[in-house]
Amino acid sequence: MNEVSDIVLFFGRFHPLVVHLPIGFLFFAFILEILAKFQKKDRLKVAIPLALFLGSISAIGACVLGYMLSLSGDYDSHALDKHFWFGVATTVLAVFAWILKTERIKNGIRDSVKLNIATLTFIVLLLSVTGHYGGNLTHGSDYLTTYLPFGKKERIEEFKINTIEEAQIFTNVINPILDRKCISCHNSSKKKGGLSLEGEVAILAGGKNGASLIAGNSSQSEIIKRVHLDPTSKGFMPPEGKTPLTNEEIKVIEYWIDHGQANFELTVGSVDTPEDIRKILEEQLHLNGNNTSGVTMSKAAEIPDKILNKLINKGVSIREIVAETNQLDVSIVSTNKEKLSKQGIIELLEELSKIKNNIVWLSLPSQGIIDKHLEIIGTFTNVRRLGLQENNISDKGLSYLTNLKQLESLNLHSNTAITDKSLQKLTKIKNLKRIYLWGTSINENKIKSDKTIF
Amino acid sequence: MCDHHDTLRSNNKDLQQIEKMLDRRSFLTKTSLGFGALALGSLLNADKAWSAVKNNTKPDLEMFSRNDLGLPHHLPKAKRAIYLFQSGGPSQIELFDYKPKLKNLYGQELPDSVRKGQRLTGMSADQTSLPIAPSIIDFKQYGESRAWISSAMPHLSEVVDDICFIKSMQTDAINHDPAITFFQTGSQQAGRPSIGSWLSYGLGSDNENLPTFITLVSKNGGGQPLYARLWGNGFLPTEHQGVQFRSGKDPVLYLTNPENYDGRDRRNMLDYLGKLNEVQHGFYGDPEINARMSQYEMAFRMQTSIPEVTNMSDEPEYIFDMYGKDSRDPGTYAANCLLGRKLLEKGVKFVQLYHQGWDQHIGCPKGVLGNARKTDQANAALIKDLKQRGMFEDTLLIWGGEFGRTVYSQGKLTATDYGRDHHPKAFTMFMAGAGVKPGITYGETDDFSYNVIKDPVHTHDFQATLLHLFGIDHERLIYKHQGRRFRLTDVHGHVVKDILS
Repeated sequence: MNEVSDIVLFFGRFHPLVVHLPIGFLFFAFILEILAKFQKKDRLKVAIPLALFLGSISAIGACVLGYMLSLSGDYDSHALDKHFWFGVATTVLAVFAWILKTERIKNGIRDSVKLNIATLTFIVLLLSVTGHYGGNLTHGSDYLTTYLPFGKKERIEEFKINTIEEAQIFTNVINPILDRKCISCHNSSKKKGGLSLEGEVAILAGGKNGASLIAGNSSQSEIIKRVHLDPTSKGFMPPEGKTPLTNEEIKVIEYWIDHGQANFELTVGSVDTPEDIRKILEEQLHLNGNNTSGVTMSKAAEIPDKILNKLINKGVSIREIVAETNQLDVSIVSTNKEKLSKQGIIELLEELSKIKNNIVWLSLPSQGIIDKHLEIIGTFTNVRRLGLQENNISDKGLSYLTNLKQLESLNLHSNTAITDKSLQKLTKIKNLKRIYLWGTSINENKIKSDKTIF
Repeated sequence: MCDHHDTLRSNNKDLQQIEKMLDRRSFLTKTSLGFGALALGSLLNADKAWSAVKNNTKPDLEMFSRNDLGLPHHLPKAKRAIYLFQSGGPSQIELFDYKPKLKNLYGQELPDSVRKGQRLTGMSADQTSLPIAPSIIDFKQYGESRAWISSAMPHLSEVVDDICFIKSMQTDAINHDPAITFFQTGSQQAGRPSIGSWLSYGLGSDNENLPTFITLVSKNGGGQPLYARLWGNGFLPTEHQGVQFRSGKDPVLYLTNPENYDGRDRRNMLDYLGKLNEVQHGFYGDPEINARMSQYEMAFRMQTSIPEVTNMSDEPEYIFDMYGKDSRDPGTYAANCLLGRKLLEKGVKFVQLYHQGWDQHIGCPKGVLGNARKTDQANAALIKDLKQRGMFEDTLLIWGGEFGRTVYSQGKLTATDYGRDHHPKAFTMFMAGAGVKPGITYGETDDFSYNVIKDPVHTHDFQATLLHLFGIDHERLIYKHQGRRFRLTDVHGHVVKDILS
């Protein structure tokens, strides 16, 4: 591209400023025309030619300045063409409307009121279209619609990353930085310095000053050179007024160019990653401690409050393990409650079995539970932690528990009748990891099991 | 004129209601027909209030209520916690942070390159010399995790494989009062809710007959004072404050009935009192009235629950032997550890123990050994006891003070004696149990135990991690007060994911 002299570009940059004058004048002419016609305010008519005249002059000025700006080559030529021709059309029409209004041409079709309104409506339409294309050039074509309330959101669902190793350096880390700090001026429609950073192809193509990246050599890469310049100097990026890159962001880009050879497909795991970079990556990917999400739970079936209220009035403590999951932690603390009779326990357990699919943790210490009761508890197949310490359970009862496929932890301490035999049965529960047998006749040092026994 | 309205209104929603009742506009509205109307108005109001009470006289049917704060946010690892607070600032150099290289530097000046201009307390700032004092207490490695423990803690060395040592703790404060307040409430200034109060507010009670948050102060400590605000509720509703059990015969005062009163009509008395308070609440809407009512009810239930839970006679001899001979003497650290376990077993969510006396400005080796003797066996016994009862998998145990101690000697350094001043930049804590990786040591200090060189854990990080283990996102447990949103971790804190199992 031929070099354009600085003075041309200097004036060209006044285009976005000047362009608002014709918009204002011409709109105002339209409003005057409407008011004059429909509210019979004839006095207003006088001002219409003036408004049209000023509108036409400033439109011509804006066209000239716009052309000068377009010479910089910073813009996508396709989008630019549309803006250019619509701009010219608006200007021509504005001049025509002025001529019409001032009756400089005498002709047969001087049924001027209707014609004037039609012309001015058309001008307003053209103005809007031109302005829209111009806006797209400056802000990007999705600027208006990004936050459209009803439109379908086309924001790409981000691929969920769980470990830093599986993250793609470019897609998950570098691109978001470019998006935040660079893309508003370096995109496919507004290529400042001829450079677009939108996508792999454009980035590799580079800009007026050559390649933006030199794989393996960050200090020679234009993209890094520019952010390291003195912030007051002319070439410093992002330019004054925009948010500069943080040291961490710069370090990560350098790491990608140097360690990752500016490869667009590489994952963090396949590159030698220094510790300080890992920290930054974790931060960028929200995988560090500040990422506050813990393990969540799936949602279980709804439970009628009536059943829960009844259980609570029987002295059962019920809480949701995670809010709004209906997964329950059910326990009875024996303080200050009269001990239930054997029949009372059965009634309680039958009540509990109505919500058995919701019970995940169940704790019934020192409630006088015997083998018979385990028949009901053995149907609570979602239970993962079961506390039956200080009850009167024997080996026989434990065979009912083998259906509890989810069971991870079983507390049987101080159930004095339990012997080694019961362990045989419990090994059938695959998920079971911890068994508490303190205070039983079992000597945990003598037995062998794949479970951890306390 | 009318615009003044908003500026005079409180931020608290409950108080706004009251202010609306009391303001000029509603006064004029009510009195617009003269004083007759005023009288009638109050009569009508009173009637309303009474009818509200009538509907509520028998609130016997308890209702299941979901946690209206949306807690827990995620799957909790801990259901309850016991925090063994070692008040005064235990010396990490004498207990856990083994620094063999110091032996060769005995008596030498602490290099400026290590101190890096760190401020000193008024107690050692005037010292002309800051001589390095290596620990005279021996260290050995224990367990499969090969953790370094000094000979001051022989019992703890048996359970190191259950413990996660954090050697890189850091805090902002350098004196006792702000440092303890900072650890317990997240702010050096008094007035914020303590950790236990946040948990009580956020998660509620597991046993309505006992307070959710109980504090025990051991009587065989002594030293820097403690204050009730360390277990205070701050701006949270009053029922969330920690209830302190005393170390004497009656752990909670005034629970026993007075002489010549059998207490049989207490229930009736409380019911009528409740009605009266209900009227007051209907009129003023002060939330503190509700808090007071719930505390009366709690006290009533504690009349039976406290004697039961503090009754040590059902503990077998070998349990007392395990905790050590102090445990038979109520109010000692060992006895409090045992009592703490019993409270946790009965559904208390947060037990906060305090042991004072770790402030070894002078006579450091002797002081550390003395305190270790009072606490070591009970610490280890508590871990073993929780394990055998199956409680270790969902109970979090925390041991730690408000800061550490300096590598240099405060006062005269001799071959057998030295003192150590406060040091906030590096000290050791340990956590164990629910959701914490067992048998690891996290973080490192330099050769002087003065600066953290790897994985620093700030007080706020510790608090964030604690809440995380209870299923709480520390950034989302928030209480709005005086127009500002407050958190335990203020605007700081990172969950230390590396120590989570």
